[in-house]
Amino acid sequence: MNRPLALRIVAFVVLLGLIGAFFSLTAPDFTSTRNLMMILHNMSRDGVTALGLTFVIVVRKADLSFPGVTALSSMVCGWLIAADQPVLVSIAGAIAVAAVCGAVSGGAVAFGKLPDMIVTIAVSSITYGLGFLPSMGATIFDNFMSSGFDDIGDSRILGVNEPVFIMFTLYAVGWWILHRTRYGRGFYATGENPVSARFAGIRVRAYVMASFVLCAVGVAWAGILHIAEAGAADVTVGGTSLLPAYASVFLGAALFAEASVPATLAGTLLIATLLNGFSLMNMPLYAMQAISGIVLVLAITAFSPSVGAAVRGLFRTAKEASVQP
Amino acid sequence: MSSSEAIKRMDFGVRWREWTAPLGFVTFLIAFAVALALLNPAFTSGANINSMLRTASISAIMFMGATWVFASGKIDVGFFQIAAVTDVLVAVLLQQGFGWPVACCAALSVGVLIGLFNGVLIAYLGLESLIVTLSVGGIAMAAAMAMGHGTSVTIYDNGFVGQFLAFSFGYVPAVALLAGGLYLLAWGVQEHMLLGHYFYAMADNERAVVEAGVPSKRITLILFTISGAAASLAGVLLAANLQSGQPQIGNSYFLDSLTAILLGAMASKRKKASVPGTLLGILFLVFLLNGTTQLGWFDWQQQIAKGCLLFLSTIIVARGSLRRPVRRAVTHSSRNV
Repeated sequence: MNRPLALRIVAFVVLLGLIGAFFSLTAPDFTSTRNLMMILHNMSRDGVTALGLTFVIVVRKADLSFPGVTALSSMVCGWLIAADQPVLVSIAGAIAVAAVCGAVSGGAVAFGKLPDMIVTIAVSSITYGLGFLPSMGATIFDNFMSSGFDDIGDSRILGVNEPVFIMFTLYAVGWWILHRTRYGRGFYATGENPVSARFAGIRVRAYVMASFVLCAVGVAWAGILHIAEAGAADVTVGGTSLLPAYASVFLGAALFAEASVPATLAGTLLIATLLNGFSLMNMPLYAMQAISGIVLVLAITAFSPSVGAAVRGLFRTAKEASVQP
Repeated sequence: MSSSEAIKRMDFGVRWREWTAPLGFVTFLIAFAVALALLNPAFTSGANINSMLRTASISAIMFMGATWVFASGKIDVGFFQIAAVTDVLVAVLLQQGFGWPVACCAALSVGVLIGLFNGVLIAYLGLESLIVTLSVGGIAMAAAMAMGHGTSVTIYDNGFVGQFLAFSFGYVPAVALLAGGLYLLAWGVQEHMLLGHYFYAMADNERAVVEAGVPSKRITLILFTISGAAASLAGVLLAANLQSGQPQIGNSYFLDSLTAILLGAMASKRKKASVPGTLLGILFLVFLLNGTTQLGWFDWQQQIAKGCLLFLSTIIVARGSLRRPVRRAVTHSSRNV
């Protein structure tokens, strides 16, 4: 599995090219500037979720609390906006709530030594229930237009949508933290071997907790963009963000040998392109779940060590057979 | 000689404690039911008991395989979607004019095939069970939605499965006897056959188990296949019970299944998932949901309650298995004598 980086980048570009070629043949609008901007626009939502999840995957944990955390944080955001709070305060409030959720699940996993999947499922359920509290489950849309909250998805910087700009900024910051600082090495060391990381003086538990907080914050940001675009906050927001995010992170990790920020960006780009192309082909919304699922299974299967060994074995026997005669 | 006697005595002690440990939870369960009955007399009406037992039995059949997967140290977060897809498959096949026997066979074989697929990927390719079952579950749900064109599919003729579900001995529905029988069988396998000993050992240390010559891959394959088969059987029963194929029915079982399994693990002495434990967990959840619904609780309040229960039972299970490593080791060695 020690293929050089250049080869991996070529593989990624070829894959993206193949997907692009397929869709530009089947869906004529695919290559229009508007649609390419649309892909970026969709990425700006799911991409941030995937970026947060990357940290959790790097410390070798799993976070399944997306549906609940999205529901609670977007309801809080909508509630604050309906209560005449400024947009920035509302967003900050939602992100703070999500950070608390992340700290609870991260704290339980890191300091309480509880199993990550079950804890995050429990947190998801509790936060989903709490999401009903601000409005007793009713959809919130008061002040969404007048406060200018609806416009955060549409305002532009240098010709690009603001969320796209923010996503790339977040990716740059994430890349810098995870790959250019000692904190980043801390995350990787925690994931590789928590015991030796601890003996190397890394505060393993703090890193695990931090990764869950980052993930929850990313999830909340995606939820905020979602309700700003929809023009209303509803508890069912974000019920389907789990599978695409996992598919992005694992597809990227499969292509680039390990989970990293650039790998997740590549994975997100591929998944967003795929989902966009299929939606242009008038696939229903639920089909996106299937596509994410299929891509996820294919990615982890194709790049699993045992399949790699089997393929290399086949090549070896073929080579021996060709040398023998 | 004396050591084997000591082990025997210890074995007896351990077995005794294994039997008595759940009594606390059973007492609590009974007290809880009595409290609910006092708050609302309708709770103990014949019709309500009958309907609670029917709901519990279907859940019990669905969660059976997943309990073992959980006990073997892996996780299945897709089996309830298998139940959903088989539920819709039955409805669609009936709508196409095939009879119940064909629909049942098709549904069960689809369940077994999905289980086998999960098992092959997890056991033989060494992939993570969470990721595989999550994505296969997503695919199954999308398939269910596609077959039902996004909505539910009505069943007009309930067939022999419907008759079986409607049949009751007094308060006890026939399906409860089926679930009870399956659980008794599963309990026997878990406690007295090598398979049970092996999958509990796999949760503790899979590499050691492999080194000891246990076919752990085959066992993993079997466990995921059982999970798929059990879920599809529940899917068939759900189709007759709901008189429709509901593509999104799976989501509602996600939280309940884990909560039931963890509550059961909490109740048992070994703090491990087990089939009798899951049965107790399901009964508790059904009492809770039925009782609180009659008291006028909303769905979101129940969600919070279930989440808190799951959290609480996870803490107790994790504490239990962290604090008593030595006694746990004894339990295992004695189980294999």
